[in-house]
Amino acid sequence: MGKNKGLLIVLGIVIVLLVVGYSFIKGRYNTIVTQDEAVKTAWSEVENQYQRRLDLIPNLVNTVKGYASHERETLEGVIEARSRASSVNINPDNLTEESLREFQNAQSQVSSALSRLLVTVERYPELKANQNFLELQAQLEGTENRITVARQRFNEAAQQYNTYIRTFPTNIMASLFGFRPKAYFTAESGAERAPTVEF
Amino acid sequence: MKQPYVIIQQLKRVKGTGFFLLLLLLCSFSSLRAAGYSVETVPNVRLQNRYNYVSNPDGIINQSDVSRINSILRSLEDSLSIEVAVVAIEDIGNNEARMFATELFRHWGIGKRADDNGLLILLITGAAQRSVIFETGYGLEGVLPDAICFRLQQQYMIPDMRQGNFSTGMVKGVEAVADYLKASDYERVDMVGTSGGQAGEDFPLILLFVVLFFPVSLMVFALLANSWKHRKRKCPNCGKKTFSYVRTETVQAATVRSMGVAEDVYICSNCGYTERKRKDINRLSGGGGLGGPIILGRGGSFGGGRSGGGFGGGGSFGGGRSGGGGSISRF
Repeated sequence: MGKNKGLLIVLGIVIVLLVVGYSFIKGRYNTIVTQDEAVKTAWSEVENQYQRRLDLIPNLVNTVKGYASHERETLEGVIEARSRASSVNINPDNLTEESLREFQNAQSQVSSALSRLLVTVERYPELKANQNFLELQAQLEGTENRITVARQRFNEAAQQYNTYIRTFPTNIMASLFGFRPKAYFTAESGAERAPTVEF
Repeated sequence: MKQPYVIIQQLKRVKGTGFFLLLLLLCSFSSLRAAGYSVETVPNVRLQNRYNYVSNPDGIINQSDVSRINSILRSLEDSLSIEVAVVAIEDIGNNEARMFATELFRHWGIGKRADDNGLLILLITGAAQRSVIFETGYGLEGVLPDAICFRLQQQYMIPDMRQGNFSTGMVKGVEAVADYLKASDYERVDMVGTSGGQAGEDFPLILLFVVLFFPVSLMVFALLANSWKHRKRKCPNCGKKTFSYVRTETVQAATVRSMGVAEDVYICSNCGYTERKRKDINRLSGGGGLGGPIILGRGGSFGGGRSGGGFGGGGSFGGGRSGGGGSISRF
């Protein structure tokens, strides 16, 4: 009887330890996965919005061409920057500093090409009064704002994730399962800021 | 509220405080003006009454127009469930106007949670940032794209507002937006949610092993705990090992709001000595399994009416989200 009881107690302790260990690991692991997914969702939103801007460009270029066809250089600059940016894609599993910097560089070239174009437009009063152009510009402005929001929310999600996987004791598990910290968007340089035009 | 009163009482004892008080008042007013509104300080009038759609703290829109806008937006919400918030303020300090709209939208959570069908119409009259901004929720981006927002602003709002008739311009704008939405195919639009499909995770082998044993070990654990509870103890009365747990009696049942009380009854089978130990019963879990039964959703004053302010009287917006869509017209 006594021997039996001792065995039971040992068995009980082992099971309790297993249960506690299991639920501990499960909770942490699932939280990391959830946050990782949140970062990926935020990232896809960022990509969506940048893509949306790229999609607007052909329309914008065509409209401007109708009024300012001899601004060839500026127009070509936009098209070129667009095609370069559309070739840079990041796998959301690999959000490292370099890949993000590469992406950001390509997109900021689009931004500066676009703002150069919008400065040029100032010289064409008819174009500036064109309803189609004004609406395109409104769409562009809305998209720039969406990009800002998407980037900001991406950084928030990434920060939450990074903080979680870097604090003890989650950091041990994170390295065990191969979760790596995500890179942030850095502050914008002047050229990348959305061009603001007074109406 | 009491503090200024106390200060006034104290000041009354000093001679010539009238001037001082005036100065104090002026100071506080001017500092209020200079700072402008922040996302947190714009009054959310919907909290008092869910049929208030117009936050008009500076009195930019006149009273009859406010009630007109309220009735238009109420009928819009009744028919299409779209929540529109109108905000007219003078100054937002150093905030960037477009971002201010996005953040205010997020702070209030305009639109139904499931559909994200909110729209914020923000008017800023201060000379530095004079503009009208539409911020559309995710669910309205399809039916109210940026170009349409811009067109509505330019056609219906800007002409009057440029003349300084902010109130008239706002009514015309709200009418135009409501008409546009009612004529649109909003109801038939399939809302695009942002549902993240969750793929199955690859668990390492050792975890799988634990998973398989989990139900079994739980049962064994429960059995052990039970027999441990029913074990024979030493009776504090007669000293024999015949004292044991018999049953649990509920003294006061738990509710969703409060904890209950129960008693474990221990009886000695030898001498009949009885002992009762009180213990708490956990509160019944409310819907959603969150800790608080009343406070759901967003923090602060928000979150009461997740489904669009179902309670009578005050309510909040439904918790919709936006992603910076919409347009701005400066004038």
